[in-house]
Amino acid sequence: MHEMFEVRWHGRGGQGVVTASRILAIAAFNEGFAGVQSIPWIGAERRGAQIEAYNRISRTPILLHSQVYSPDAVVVVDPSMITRNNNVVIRGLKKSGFLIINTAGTKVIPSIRVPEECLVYVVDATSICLELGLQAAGLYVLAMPMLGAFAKATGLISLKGLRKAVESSFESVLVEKNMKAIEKAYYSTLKVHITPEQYIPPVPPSRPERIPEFRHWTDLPPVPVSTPSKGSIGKTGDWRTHMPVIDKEKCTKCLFCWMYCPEAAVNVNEEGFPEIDYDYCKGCGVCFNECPRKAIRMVVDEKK
Amino acid sequence: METLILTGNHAVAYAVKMARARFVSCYPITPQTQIVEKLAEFILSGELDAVFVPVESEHSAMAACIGASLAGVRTFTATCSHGLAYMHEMLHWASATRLPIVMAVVNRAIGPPWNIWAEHGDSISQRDTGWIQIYTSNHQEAFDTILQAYKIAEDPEVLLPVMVCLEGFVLSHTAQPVLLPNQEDVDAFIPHEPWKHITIDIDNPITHGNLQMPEDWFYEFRFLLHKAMETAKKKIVRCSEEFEKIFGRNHGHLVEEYKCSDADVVLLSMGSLADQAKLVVDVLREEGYKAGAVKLRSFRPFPEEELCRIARKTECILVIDRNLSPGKGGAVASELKASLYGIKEKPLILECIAGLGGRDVTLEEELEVMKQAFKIIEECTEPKGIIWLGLK
Ligand code: SF4
Ligand code: SF4
Repeated sequence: MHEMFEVRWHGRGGQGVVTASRILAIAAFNEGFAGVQSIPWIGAERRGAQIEAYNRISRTPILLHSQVYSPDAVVVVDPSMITRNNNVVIRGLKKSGFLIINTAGTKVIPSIRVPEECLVYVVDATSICLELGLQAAGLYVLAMPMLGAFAKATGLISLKGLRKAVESSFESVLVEKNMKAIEKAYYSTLKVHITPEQYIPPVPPSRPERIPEFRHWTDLPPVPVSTPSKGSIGKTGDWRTHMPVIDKEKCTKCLFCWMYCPEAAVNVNEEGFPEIDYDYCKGCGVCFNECPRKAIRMVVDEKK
Repeated sequence: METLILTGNHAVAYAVKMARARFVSCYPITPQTQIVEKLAEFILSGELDAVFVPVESEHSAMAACIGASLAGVRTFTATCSHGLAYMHEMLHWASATRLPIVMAVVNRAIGPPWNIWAEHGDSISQRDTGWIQIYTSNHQEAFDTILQAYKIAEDPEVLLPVMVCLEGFVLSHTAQPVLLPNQEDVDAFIPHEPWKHITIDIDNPITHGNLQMPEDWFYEFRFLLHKAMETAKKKIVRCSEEFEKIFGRNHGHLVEEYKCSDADVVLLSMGSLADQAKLVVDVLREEGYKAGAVKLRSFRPFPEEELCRIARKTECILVIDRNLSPGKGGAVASELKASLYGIKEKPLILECIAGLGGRDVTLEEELEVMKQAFKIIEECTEPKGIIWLGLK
């Protein structure tokens, strides 16, 4: 292996990415790596928002504190990341680096574009979570099974090391459920064959997305102001893996869902019923959690 | 024009009235309260056309001023000590939103133990909030500096809030003659033009202070704030020159020199002690000592070049700080030392702390410490750390 092994995780707020990155660090430490780092990249701090997390794993203590730009492995927890912007995910990925993807049972493989010699591994982490009911606050913790896929693909850590890390991180009732997900993923992770049409030149390392309105401090006004607009950060509906569905039979029009929705994606119709604007509903499940009548269900969004 | 015998607090209130502030918000705190009481009277009697918003805390007082300033009107508040400390968060808001708010700080010690008397520690603690800080030495200067503060703050190349500092009781509650200028001259000196960087338009709402990620522009906006401070140095000088042209007096620009050209020892101080320092120099000169004095008016922005220029021509600078950074010393002394690092022939810097918690600083004490300084340079002895003036 390299002197230092660097990992970049791609997921969405609420999918357990930060937790998984921490468990990976603990597991690696348990395996005898003296230098481990888990680096959550906290962005907008919104459920469903794109997030990244990083790991560094080394035999010697690590002095570097910046983000990871040229990862040896990229773990994609949410396949919509690839379909939306493949290059964001593979940016800076090292030659013969690992790309480990949750395919969520979808046909994401043909749309992957990677530099030559990249090793691509897939696992259906979404189905594993669904089957085991591995959920936290209404969302599936997709990053947990990805730890198993990472272990299988890279061979850097063992299932035993992961178990110790999971045991030290969760209450005992949760350990078995999480370990089952990790083990299932470990044994079902597959290396996929990439056809020459899927090869693209390497994407150079860069920082996470940048707002391109200005180039230089001389372009700036004296004060930052913003103009509020609908969907100012794009259609948050794209973030969704699960969608809330309201059962009007059970709904009492209390409008708790309208009040609690962090994206203001719940409208009220003429009859006083809540109606979800799926262009902006990010599928966070807050409404599901708050509805006192249990009139909201979260179902897998088939269109994703 | 007329001359009134005014307390320092009332001098400030008269200046705010003549500057035609349109919005005053405040929470009372000794020794500042008289300022806003007087302003409330002016507003009630119709002499000042302004809105007065009483609030439940200093934090809210500044928040209210921020709101009013965002709407484009000239605002004022006053506070000190614990009140200023409580305002701290909002001070950052005001400067980073580049609002030309003017505030009087009637310097008072921060407890415990409880103490309501003069000390610069309260405003020095707000050094890094992005506010311009000007320290005044007498009643007339306090009055004049309020007028200048609006001009500096509202300059389109500056757009920074200004603290005008005067010491509690020493200036705030003592009365001295203050020459009030003609209103027309004041109006001509500080005409009110709406700030162009912010507009309130209910049909095109904007928000301030939205998220800036590390890779966005936060860092660059801080850089711009620093640049505005640098620009403010030039503007403070220009403003005080213009002031002199219209009103026939100045109080120094960034610094004021007194008999420094041939001085071997220069006494550097801020506030009322800087006025007193001139007397110290006169007495010493009569006794044959080549002494000089420098008043530091602008603590932020800090006038590095001016102080280097003075430092080049003297052997020793004795700094009297009416503030204390425990574990280091006086703020003016340490900033002066840092500023002089780049010059080759450095004078000796002697640090002196005095007058904390309103402890009186007498002429005799200052004369004695200055004579000590002359002795040190004559005998080429090493200074022994901080001199604590009047410590029991
Ligand atoms: S919270 Fe539930 S019951 Fe209340 S309005 Fe929303 S869906 Fe209906
Ligand atoms: S509608 Fe429900 S699931 Fe969608 S964003 Fe709002 S709270 Fe989240």
